[in-house]
Amino acid sequence: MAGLLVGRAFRPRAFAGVSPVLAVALLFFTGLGVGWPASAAGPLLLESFFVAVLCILFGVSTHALLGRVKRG
Amino acid sequence: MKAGQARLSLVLLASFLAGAAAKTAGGFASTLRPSLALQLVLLLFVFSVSVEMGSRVDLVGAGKLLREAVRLSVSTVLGSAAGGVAAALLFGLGLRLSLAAALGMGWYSFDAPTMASYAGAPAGSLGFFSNFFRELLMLLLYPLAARVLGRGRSLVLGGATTMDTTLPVVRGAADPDTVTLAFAHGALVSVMVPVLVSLALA
Repeated sequence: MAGLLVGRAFRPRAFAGVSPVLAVALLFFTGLGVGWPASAAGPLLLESFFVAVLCILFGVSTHALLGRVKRG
Repeated sequence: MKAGQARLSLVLLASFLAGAAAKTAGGFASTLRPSLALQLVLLLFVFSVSVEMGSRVDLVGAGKLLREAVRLSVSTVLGSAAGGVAAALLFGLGLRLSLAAALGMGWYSFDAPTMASYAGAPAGSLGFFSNFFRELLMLLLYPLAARVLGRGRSLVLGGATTMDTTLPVVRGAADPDTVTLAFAHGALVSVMVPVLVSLALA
């Protein structure tokens, strides 16, 4: 919230390039904490893929449902 | 998709893999405990993204667009939560972890470190890959989905990413109104992600 208010009030341009650099650092540290779970890599990737697919399928269905409710 | 955005996605994937490789390779890097650095950088990251979002969003005179963006965002959040619950039931993942991964809604650079710092390393991997796949699916499938499901509804695929990394795909496959809708949808979802992920992990 503080960030949103600062952004709205001052519209600082310098911040535009900051978040990608921080994102790179964040993911490096995350990788460093995680390591590469070799034995779990296969199932983990598969489960992650299906989490994404299920989120998308349910999201699209929910929007279709909301549209039908709106039209009555 | 613009080359710059594609490059950024690849750099982000490479940085995660470089960290993982450094840890797995052993030596000095494997002895580091990055949790404090992770939390500090995460705080700075959320602040910088909020500043950027606050400086770019202009909602004056955008009532109709905002209503549709809210409806899309609600669909994205409810659908992701339902997807998280379904994945927990199907794969025997813990409900909290599955929900937290799903409610990252494509924002892997936030979700993975948050899940890693709250629930440990394997949770961080789940958060990273599920959200990375969501972004990848949006990049690959949006042009086709826009034709089959509609340009607006298909924005649900991208979740939070529709305001930045996947916006160029929307720009390439849809009209300017949908691009504005994509930005508003991504911004609204991005505001909700930190709150929802923290709630899921609490």
